[in-house]
Amino acid sequence: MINGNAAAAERREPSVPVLDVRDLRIEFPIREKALVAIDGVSFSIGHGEILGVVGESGAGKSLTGSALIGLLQAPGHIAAGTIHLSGQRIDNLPETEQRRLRGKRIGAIFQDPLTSLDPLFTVGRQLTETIHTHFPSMSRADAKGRAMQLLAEVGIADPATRFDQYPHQFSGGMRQRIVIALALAGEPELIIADEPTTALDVSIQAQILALLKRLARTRDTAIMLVTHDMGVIAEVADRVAVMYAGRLVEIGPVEDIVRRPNHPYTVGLMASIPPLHRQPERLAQISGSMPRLGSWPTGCSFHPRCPHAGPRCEVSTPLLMPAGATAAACFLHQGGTAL
Amino acid sequence: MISLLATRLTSVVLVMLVVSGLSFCVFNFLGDPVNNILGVNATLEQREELRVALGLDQTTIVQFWRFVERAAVGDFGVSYRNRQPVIDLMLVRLPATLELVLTATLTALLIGIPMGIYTALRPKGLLSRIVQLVSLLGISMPQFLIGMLLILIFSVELRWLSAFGRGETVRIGWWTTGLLTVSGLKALIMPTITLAVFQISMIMRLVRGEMLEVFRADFIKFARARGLSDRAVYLTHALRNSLLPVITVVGLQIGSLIAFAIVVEAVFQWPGMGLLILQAIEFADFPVMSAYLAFVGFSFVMINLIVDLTYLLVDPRMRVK
Repeated sequence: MINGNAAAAERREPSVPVLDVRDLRIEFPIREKALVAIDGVSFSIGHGEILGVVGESGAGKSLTGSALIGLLQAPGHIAAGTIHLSGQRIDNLPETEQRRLRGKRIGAIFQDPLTSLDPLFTVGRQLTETIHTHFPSMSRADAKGRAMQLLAEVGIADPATRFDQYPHQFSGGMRQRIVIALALAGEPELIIADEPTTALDVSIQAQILALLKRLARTRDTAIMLVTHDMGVIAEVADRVAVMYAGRLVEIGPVEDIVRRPNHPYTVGLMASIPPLHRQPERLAQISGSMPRLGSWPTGCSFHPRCPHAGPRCEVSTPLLMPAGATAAACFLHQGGTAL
Repeated sequence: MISLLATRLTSVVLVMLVVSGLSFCVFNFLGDPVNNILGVNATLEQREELRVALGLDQTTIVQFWRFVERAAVGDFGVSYRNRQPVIDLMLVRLPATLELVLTATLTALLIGIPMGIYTALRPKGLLSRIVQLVSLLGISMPQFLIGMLLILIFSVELRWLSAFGRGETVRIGWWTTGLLTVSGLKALIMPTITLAVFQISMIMRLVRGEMLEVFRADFIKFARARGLSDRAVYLTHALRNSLLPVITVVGLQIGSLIAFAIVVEAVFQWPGMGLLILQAIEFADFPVMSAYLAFVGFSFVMINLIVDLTYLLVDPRMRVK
């Protein structure tokens, strides 16, 4: 008997990643000049892989996510670069085609489960509505059955009763599970989870993260997990992308990023996580703050805060290059010295 | 839900008590009812007789209680002016006012809501800008002016519509309706527009403002991320969430339409309650005035009750056990 999984694996050509972003550049035209919010960002996510995207607020993590699902707030737009979904280019599709991808091939999970659901409709209605949008030929009864299955899959007990309840009758954690069920309704290849646990209690966070991890494994879904919480990343991500001021500064496997970071910003970021086992005298911090959009420095945008910065960093922008087990955008690892 | 209903009904009763207190004061303390009824030439005996007959020799509390008892069954006494029971005068006039107010409200909703949606979806479109500008006019022009302009154009110049009255009416039980005859419907056009212009503008602006607000909500962004069509996002999710405050305001507006109808009824000589109360004020016909006061109060209270119940239907968060 031919193994079903093997056949599926062959169909999806393992060499083609689910998501492939190349040199993405997002601009906001303000009056005459264009503010560059994302510049030269490249990464890819494979089947069943969870890519954590970390960075401070304003680094461009969520913006990247919005660009992927084609929901950039006007006047923001993709000014350069390409986005491929399972080999198909999607960044230049017309709006109607892009909408067909949303929810169907790319699912999204947002930060606040309390406000992500329409308060006036039952969760069942919101689920079947989404299912019908993506599978128009499905009968009402089948759609309802599918909705119940999804509720059960994301860990909602007693789906038959819960189906007819309204969002306010669920706790925050349960609502995030429903949001996840909604994101799964179209059977997407890729899920973009934008701070999915930030608004939740710590104990609930772990459950939601475990759920996401399980979905990636069992459904083979690629997940882009946007967060500013390194703890979340360390718990579930396979690989980590670190963003700073609109650029990707380092990307690599999670152990290497956490244990042996190469970019000075990542090093600073890791040093600022309180260790579990001993009490440090004082937490390390990166001096200064990330520059605001529109006032980014020339060269490497991190150089004003970097302890290793040299004259070269002020004039030219380092590209992402292999550095140890990761890839880092820093001259320290490209020719050894920034000086 | 039962308890909510109970508290609402209690407040209805309390508000109605206060309203009847006010209308009792109008009835009893403005002018001398005995003088008003008998005139100044009556003898002392006649006066005393009527005093007892009207119960005016009792204490104020007893008088008030009797007033409430009678008002509860619709007995507001006899009009000083034409010696008919007040309730009969009111019932004859009630259909005219209610038909006018209801057609004006329907018109306002049917025009205001779609225009509000349109201007919210295309905030920069030319049509939206024009509609916005016109609605500013509609919101700031006094009603009597609109009414007189309409009469000037359609009655005086074009001679299409009659400038006064209800046209032919059909009697259904005690209710007379102008909705079933051509002349009745034609007569409704101008007063309806006059009364509805402000409401259209206000509902349009309200729907537009609420929708723009709801568009920014997370659940709209998430609905788009789920891949729902624009139609479903805007007309199902955004609109329904925008309509909650609209229900409240429209409810209150129906109440004030009943009150504002006075001006429109005067301009178009519409034989409704507004015209009745204007005549009553002229002749210091206190029983009619106090009955009208009670009626307007009762309308407001009932409309508020209906609004609260509608909220229960529309917003599941209100249905707390």
